[in-house]
Amino acid sequence: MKQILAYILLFLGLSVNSLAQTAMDTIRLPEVKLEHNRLQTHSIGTHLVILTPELIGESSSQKLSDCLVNNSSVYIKQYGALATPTFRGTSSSHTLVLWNGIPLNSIANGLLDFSITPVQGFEKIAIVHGGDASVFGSGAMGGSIHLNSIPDFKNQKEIKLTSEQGSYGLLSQGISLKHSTDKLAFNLSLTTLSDENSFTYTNTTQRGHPTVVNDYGKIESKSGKLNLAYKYDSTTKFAVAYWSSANDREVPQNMTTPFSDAKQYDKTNNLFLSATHFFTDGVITLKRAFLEEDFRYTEHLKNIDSQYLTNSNITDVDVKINKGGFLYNLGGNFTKQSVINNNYRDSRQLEKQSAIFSSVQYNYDFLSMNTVLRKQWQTTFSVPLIPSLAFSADITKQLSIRFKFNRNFRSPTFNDRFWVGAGANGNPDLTPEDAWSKEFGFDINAPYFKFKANAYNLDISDMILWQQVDNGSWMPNNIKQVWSRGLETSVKVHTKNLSIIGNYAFTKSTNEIATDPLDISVGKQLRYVPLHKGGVAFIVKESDFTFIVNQNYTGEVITSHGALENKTLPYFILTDIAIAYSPAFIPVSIEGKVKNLMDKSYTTYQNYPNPGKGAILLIRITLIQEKNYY
Amino acid sequence: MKKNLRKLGIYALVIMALSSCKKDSIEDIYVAGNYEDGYFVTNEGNFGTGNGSISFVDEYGFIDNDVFASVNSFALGDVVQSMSIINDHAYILVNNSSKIEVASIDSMISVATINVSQPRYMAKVSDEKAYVTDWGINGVQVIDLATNTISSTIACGTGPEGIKVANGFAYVCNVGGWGLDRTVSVINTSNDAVETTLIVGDKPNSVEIDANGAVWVLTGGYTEYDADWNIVSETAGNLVKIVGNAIEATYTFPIGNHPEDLIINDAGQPSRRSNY
Repeated sequence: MKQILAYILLFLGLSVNSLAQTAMDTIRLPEVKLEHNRLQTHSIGTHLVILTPELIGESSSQKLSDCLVNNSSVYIKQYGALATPTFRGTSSSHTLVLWNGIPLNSIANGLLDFSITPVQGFEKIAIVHGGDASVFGSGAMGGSIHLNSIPDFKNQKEIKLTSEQGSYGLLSQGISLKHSTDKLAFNLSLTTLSDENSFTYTNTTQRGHPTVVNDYGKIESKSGKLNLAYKYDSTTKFAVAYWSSANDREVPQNMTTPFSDAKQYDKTNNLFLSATHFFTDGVITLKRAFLEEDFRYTEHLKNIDSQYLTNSNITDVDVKINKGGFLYNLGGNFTKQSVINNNYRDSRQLEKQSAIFSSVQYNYDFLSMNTVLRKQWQTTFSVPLIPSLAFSADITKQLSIRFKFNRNFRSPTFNDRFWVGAGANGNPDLTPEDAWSKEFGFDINAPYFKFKANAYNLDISDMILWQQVDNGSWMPNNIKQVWSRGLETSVKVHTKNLSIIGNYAFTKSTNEIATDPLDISVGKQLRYVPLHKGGVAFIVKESDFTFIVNQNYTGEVITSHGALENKTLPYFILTDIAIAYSPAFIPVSIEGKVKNLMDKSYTTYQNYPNPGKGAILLIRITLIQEKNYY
Repeated sequence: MKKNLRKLGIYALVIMALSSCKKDSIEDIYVAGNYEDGYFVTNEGNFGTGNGSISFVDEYGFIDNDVFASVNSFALGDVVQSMSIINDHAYILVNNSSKIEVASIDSMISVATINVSQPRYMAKVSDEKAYVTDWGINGVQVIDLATNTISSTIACGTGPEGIKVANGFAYVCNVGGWGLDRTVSVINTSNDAVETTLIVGDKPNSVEIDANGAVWVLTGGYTEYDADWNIVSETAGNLVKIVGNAIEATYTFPIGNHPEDLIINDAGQPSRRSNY
């Protein structure tokens, strides 16, 4: 109750204090661009990729995992029912996912599943390659993905219905309402998805390599997002976002097993509130978020019924002051987390963490510099000081270079520390993983040509590894050491009717120390990290038609290390094509897609099949559309 | 004939050969053909990945990995639980793939796949018949060795685990599967019927026959936890001697000592291999 009261007071305080200054969403001052958005503010030296609504697409069934595969060099590992992103040779739990700046990764296991996260309802998606833990906290070690759902005040009205039908039992319906004036912006998006995933594949693990139907992998998903933004006056605005989803899934086993009865049920409820107030030389933003994850996994054949309920209560405050060419940014975060899990020591675990960070940014002529220092306190372990230093310089109008040197960390998850049972025990003495990162890059921004290149070096120590201990059970320890280095490039060429977008990543990520006397992986590429990954998309627009061809290459990955030779999964190239017809005279658009056009048989995780060629038909009806940009 | 190679030595070798795989059981075998003068090692693989395999270690210590998949062009499967050599054939019990792969012992070329549920261990009854314990059916699958098919099933207790055949009977340890059992099912091998069920103590896991034909059963004892994973109660493990299908003696281990995997030396004297 006290919290709620404090919160109301704070909000009231802010609105009372909003006695008009000259301010807007973004104030452009001579030296410093003042953004209330923390990501934008700290983007100096960062390899940042922004996916606009056009790139995100408006298909209600499109999963975030597919969107990232097609638009970036992020590697998505898909197995069973899960799809998780990885950056720079790190693992999925080293990718931080944020929703309006609030961390979304499960506090139980550190992951966020992208196979059930629909992209509809997000205004903008930003991908950060590289660590950003000094600003965003634990987990932003390999990279982070920012999902922004708060609408702009654009003066538009829109009601849109989408219906999709595709191969292998895909059926999806969505409705999206948008209404915004220069005072109030609102969007609502409701999506239902049912996917049987009943694709056929050649089961190479069985005698005679039979062609079989994937008859266990159905997904039922419902998702609703409601976002509201209110501009109280020219200096103060509020936002509320609510995101709820419910997913029921059959979890298939690998293809050497004849059947599965595994099921997974996830429900999430996320509420976000924010207030932003601009004053003469700065801006203050207060955010509150309440996240709930209700998870259950059952596998009756193996007597497994695992459940957890997590709650996070987050308060985040951010103040930016611009004085004499310097931008000072002070941020504070207080988070309470609790997990109830039938497999935890004491069944319920509660934790508090608080963090402050301070940053000084300086822009002089063509040069920008950003320094950040973060200190975090956690009830059960200590987190070191997390510094960051970044430069960027505009060498010419079209060429800029950047450099970033920072430290990153990842706290052990609740599962890592408190799990008990099924032959595994968490380790309450775990400490955070520690990583030092250096990166250098340059950008070319010419009118018809954009090019980005980045080289990085990432040293991770105290990495948490679950190992079998003397008594036969499994336990995690801070013992692994990984060295990741690589190159990331992206290119975009566009003319009036044609765009070509390409990306390529070279990732060398090696194990640096033996984690047990028989470890034979030292100096070798980590499992499931492709050395090469790239993609190219051609987009042609011709009157009412748009043609898209998208090709992605994923290099060979190691599945297990051997003394003489490693076991691997072969490289694969996937081709998707799409044709969209959006006639100007009727408010209906039709899009046809063929995924995996060449019908490639491929796996990203050993012995888990993927669909071959499949088609999707998307019909979109726009009932009302008014756009009036100022 | 190279019988009864030193098991713990083999254990170490296995781990060196395949650090990502956990060894589950070792059968002492002598082999002919491609795989002669050495021993096989079963590599359980990573659960849920389907990368279980068989390695062969020859008399000089050279290791040949993946000997099944390399000649058969299909995968062995998920969680290789155990392997038995019967009548020049390797019977490989693949637990999570719910099957038994039957391969020629000299070439490892597969000759049959027998679909079962959750196979654990196998014991030869005669040249025509063998028994496989199966958690999925809480019983024993009777295998016709001539056709490599299932001829019948025998209901036992919960989670049948270790099995040995002697004196015209099969002794099946009902370990409890995912729960608790405390019995040994004694099956008359002439009519595939349960002759008697003996209560030996909580969680019997393995059985051996000594030089005199006495049956020795090892029980692990049971630990009960409350919802918060505090220990509510704990029972002791036992070493039980069975003679004439009746319990002759019970030797009890201290509480907290949970023995498993009974083995027997060449002289036919049992010893326990591990505690956890």
